[in-house]
Amino acid sequence: MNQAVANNILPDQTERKRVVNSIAMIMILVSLSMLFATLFLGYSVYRVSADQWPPFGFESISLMIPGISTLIVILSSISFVAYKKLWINKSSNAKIFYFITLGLGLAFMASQFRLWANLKTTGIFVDSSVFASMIYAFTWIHAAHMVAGILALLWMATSLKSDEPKELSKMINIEKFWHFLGIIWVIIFFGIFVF
Amino acid sequence: MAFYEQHIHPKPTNFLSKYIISYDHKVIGKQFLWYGIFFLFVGGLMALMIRWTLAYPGEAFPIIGSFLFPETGGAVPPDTYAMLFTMHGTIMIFYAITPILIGAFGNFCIPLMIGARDMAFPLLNMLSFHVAVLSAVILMGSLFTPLGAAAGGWTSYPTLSTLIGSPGMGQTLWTLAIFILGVSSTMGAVNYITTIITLRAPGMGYFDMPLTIWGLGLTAVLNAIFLPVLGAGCLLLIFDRVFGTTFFLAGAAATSGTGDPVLFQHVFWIFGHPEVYILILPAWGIVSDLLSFFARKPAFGAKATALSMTTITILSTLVYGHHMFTTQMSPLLTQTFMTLTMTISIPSAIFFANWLGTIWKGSIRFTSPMLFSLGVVFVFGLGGLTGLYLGTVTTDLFLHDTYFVVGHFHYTMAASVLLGGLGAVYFWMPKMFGTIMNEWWAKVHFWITMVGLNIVFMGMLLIGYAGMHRRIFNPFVYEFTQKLIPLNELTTWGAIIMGFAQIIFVINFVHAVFFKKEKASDNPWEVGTLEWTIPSPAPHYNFDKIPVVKCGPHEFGNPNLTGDRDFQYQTEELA
Ligand SMILES: [Cu+2]
Repeated sequence: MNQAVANNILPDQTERKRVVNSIAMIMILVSLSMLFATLFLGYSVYRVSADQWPPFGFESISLMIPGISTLIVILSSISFVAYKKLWINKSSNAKIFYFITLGLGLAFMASQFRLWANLKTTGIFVDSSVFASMIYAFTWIHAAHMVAGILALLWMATSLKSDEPKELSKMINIEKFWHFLGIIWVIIFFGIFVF
Repeated sequence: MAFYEQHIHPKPTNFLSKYIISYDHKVIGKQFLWYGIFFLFVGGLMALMIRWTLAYPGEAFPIIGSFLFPETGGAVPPDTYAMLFTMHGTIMIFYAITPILIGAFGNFCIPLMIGARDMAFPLLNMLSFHVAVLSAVILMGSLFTPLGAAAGGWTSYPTLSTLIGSPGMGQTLWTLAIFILGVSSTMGAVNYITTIITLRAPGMGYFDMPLTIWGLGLTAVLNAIFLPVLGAGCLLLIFDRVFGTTFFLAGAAATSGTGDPVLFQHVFWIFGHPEVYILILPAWGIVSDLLSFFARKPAFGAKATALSMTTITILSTLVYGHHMFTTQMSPLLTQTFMTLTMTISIPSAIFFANWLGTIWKGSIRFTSPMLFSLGVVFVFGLGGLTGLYLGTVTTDLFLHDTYFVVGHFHYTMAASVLLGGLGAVYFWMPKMFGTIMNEWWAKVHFWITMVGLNIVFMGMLLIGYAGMHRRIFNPFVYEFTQKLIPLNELTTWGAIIMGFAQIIFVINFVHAVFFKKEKASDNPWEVGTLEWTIPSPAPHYNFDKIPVVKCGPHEFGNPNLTGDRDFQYQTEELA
């Protein structure tokens, strides 16, 4: 078996490189899942051992803003998929969806700031109780990853002008990250705000 | 089969691109090696101060004591003692052993042994080292904060690690440093896993990989999965300390609401038990290979060894509760954890027997790497067996938090990993730096280290069995421990012997790296794995032509070999 034969298992270099990048991205997402899983473990311990939840003196958080955030996150994932589809088909409408995705990402961050401000006005501060601590910790850590996601989207702006295959590799992996953040948010929404 | 072709990059020319911001996995490996050796020295010095205090409480630490602790005339003050054992543990585990075994040899060996030109993501690799440096700077900086460094033990249990237990910046910086280091190691792990999956040379299946790569690969998997768990714990601890959340504060400690201090212990050990295997798996892999290489025999049951290591990796995720038997867990849980812990004995016994099977009737060459490997077999046997007493609920209730625990984990984590790491340094030295270290002095180094090491750690086991508690500044205020003073003195002298033996290593190493004129041959140990098919030191592109693998890594004594060679290169095909 020689080099050329060995290299011909997958169609071409860029496509092979894409598989490699995807493997790495999946490992990163496994790592991040463990980070959030640990937070959820902590949350369930507090939740199960608490006599009453939310604790005495607190009311459940209004679902209004978290609900809007959830909607935004879902829409942004859809528009990301649309962007990728149109980009692959080299459609001229693709660009619009890039900006919609980016805009929704920023809107999500805005909704998070709104949420934190609201929590403060209703008297729920970081150090109020473990109930408050948990909400802040989850949203902060998720938001920090969201910032990373938005930066990745900006880095992906190169795909607006170029249709090189390596742009697709970048896009596919940022897409994985983006959907991952969306899924985590939906879990946070149901796990912490709804129930 | 390599997934894609790695191009040969032009040779870096200036000092900066060659040694500081190099993308070359071999240079990054060497950077990690120096980093680890530096911290081995710092952590070792701290160990000597701890041991000195236990043997001669209240007496000035020789030579540098009066300079470091002028206010007490050179004796280690009680609060500093707590900082010393905290920082000693942290530095040795995260900043010495991890960089040497995983950072240095992971980086150096993986591409060379699987026949790749570099890691899959060289930039990520470089960043991983620079992030580790940042973490080290933060950790060392914490030593100079007004209230001193972290003092809650390397496990940093709340409430010792909350603002009540340790006010001041030290603990916060410690937590931050560990978090950042976790990011660095995770970056490394993602890179290692991807590289092993995608960049193996054509013809190299997973079972054709040297066991070193198996060990490093499994370590990377554990790192990628469990470091984020510690990361989450660290983040919550930082929030508690900086923003006033109450995750780990309970009762009167929490001004409002109430958290759960024991939760941190759970999170810590969910990570912490796999961490033990993170440290030991690379050493196991390296030793499994070296034993075969120097017994001039195929590794006995290499496939079984690889699968046992995998089984242990999986089981290691299910046993963390054995660190917490004394936290009022339900007896049902403690027994479950005990049973699962005991299950690990089975795969451990399999690969231990395989080690013995490998050297059985071999024509053993007692070179320095072989001596260190045999040393690992001995100390790991002892360490593993003492673990059974701690994994059993009934005996653990007595031994918990005594020096027996300290002796046990030093045998498994410090002794075996240190000996494995040193063996690896002696073995890969020709490929890393192009010279071979002085064999005679290497053997002297081995024997003195071995004697010193066994005195220290055996002493610890005995002291602990007699009931001396760990982490106490002056245990001899209690009457029953006063009889242990002579044994403590002996243990301390063991530590001093072991410490001074390392000077031999450092001189030998520095001499070989910088001053030795005589170059090593391409394959001084007569071994068939891929890194020995290329020149020493390895050229920056590793393989001029990517090799095609035809056989496993431990082929010895094939009758069809020509000449007086008894080993077969992995690129050779023989009937
Ligand atoms: Cu354990």
